[in-house]
Amino acid sequence: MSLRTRTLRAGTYLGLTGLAGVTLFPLLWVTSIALMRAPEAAAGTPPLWPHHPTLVNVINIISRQHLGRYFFNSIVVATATMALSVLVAGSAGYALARVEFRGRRVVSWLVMLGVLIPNQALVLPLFEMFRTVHLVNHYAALVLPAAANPVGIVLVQAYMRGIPVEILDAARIDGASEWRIYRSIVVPLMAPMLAAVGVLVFVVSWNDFMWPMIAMQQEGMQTLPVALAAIDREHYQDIGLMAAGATMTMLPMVVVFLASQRYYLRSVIAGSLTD
Amino acid sequence: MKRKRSTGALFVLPALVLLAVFVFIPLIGVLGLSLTDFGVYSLADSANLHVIGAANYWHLLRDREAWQALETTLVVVVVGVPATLFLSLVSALMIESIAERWRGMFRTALFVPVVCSTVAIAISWRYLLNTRFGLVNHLLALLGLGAPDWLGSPHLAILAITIVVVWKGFGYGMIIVSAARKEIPDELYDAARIEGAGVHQRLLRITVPMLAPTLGLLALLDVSGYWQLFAEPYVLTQGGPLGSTTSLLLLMYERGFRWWRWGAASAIAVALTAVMWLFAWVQRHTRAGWRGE
Repeated sequence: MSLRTRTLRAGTYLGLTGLAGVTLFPLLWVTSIALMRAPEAAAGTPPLWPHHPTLVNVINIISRQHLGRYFFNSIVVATATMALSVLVAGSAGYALARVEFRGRRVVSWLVMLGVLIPNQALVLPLFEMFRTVHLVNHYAALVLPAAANPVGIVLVQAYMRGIPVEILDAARIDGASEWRIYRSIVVPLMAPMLAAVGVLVFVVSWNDFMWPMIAMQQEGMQTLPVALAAIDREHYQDIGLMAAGATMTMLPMVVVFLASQRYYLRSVIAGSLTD
Repeated sequence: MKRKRSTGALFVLPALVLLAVFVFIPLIGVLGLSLTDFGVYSLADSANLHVIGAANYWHLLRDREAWQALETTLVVVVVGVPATLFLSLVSALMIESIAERWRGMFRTALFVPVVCSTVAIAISWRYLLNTRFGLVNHLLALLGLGAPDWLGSPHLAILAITIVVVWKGFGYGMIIVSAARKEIPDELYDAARIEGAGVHQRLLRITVPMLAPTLGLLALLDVSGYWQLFAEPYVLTQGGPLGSTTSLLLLMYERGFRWWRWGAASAIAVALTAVMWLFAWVQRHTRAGWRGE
């Protein structure tokens, strides 16, 4: 190996380590501040590491700011959104890719159009719609619009296009009903993509901010990021408290990501290939 | 065959209903609202609602706050997107060039900010950038570079927000470029090596051109993401100082839900969507050009 190649290689590792430091450090620092007592966190530049780690900030934000309640809301909303999205995108994506029916092209086109509509631009009429049917401050106000997820449909559709269809045709000739074919052949076939869409939807729903802030104004109905932003406006000077809140909002998604990385990254990559 | 046809339609029905109710009807709704003076009085009694045609749009054209928000959002897009693309590309190429067993670790490390809540990230960065105890200025002081007031000065605040946005976003593109890099056949590099092409030539003559379509798509994804900037300025600066970090969506939100001027807010939403479609159209157009070569 020439000196040049070796230098290049060493430089690459060094550069990557530096970049990884830049992405991870702020997250680790905030976690570390969350574990510091108030005087330590507030005295000048906080030390990098808590000398006497404590859970007092975590306890404070749970007991005084009711973070547990918001945590529960976020879990309910993200789980329901994930379940509904997977159900809806699974059947629609499959049918658009592999079932002949009248109007298929129009529906495909509408789904593609849906991908191009920034949903944050729709919050005003959405709010008026939910206000009219008295569903503001209900979980449904967050779950239903998020389940209208054209990206998920496109992901499943593209995935199904890449799977050979002979097996489906054989089952059809054997006289199996379309529903039966879907349940016992198609769903297992596309399970990896359904898992990918599911994780993606879960994380996006958990982190969503603008619409949940508008739709959930009643005390106790907010999701974690919405509640965190509200607590932040009053308590931003309490660094330890806010660091604890930020950590508790981010950490679950980091864990979800680490546990399902294969599926999560699959949805990211597939999303770039379907276009 | 008839049975099959109706089943196919049944399979897409739930999706179609959801899309119609929560995407297409609201889209028509926001268009309609933008042509009215819908405001706090018409929320109470619809008799106070008037159709005023394109007046909201004419006002928008003469509205200094709207122009400032457009400028702010464009700065984030114009500075942030190339920076993100560059970091995505460089980090992906570096990761693909190292030993296989280390790749996963670096990929994970660079991707983690993508899955974190923007609100939580913004709160964290506000402490990092704090003038009194923030670590960023602490580091700059060690290097003897002074202590800028990141979130307190109009020019720096928008730069700080762009930095946070890029920091959070580039890992996403890294994954996509990384996957596309794997698709480039090794034969191309072998042939080039035999022809005597060096590292730089291989990079500029093979890698970058082969990745161009992917980078083009990524540019569109980044542009449409940054164009919808909202949570970062909402938490970090609340749109200030002097409105310098009020993005288009933040302006829409404030007009809509703080001042209840829904007609005006809807006009901003429609304009924002229209410009995004323009971006998508341009991207599709240029990509078709690349394919035609």
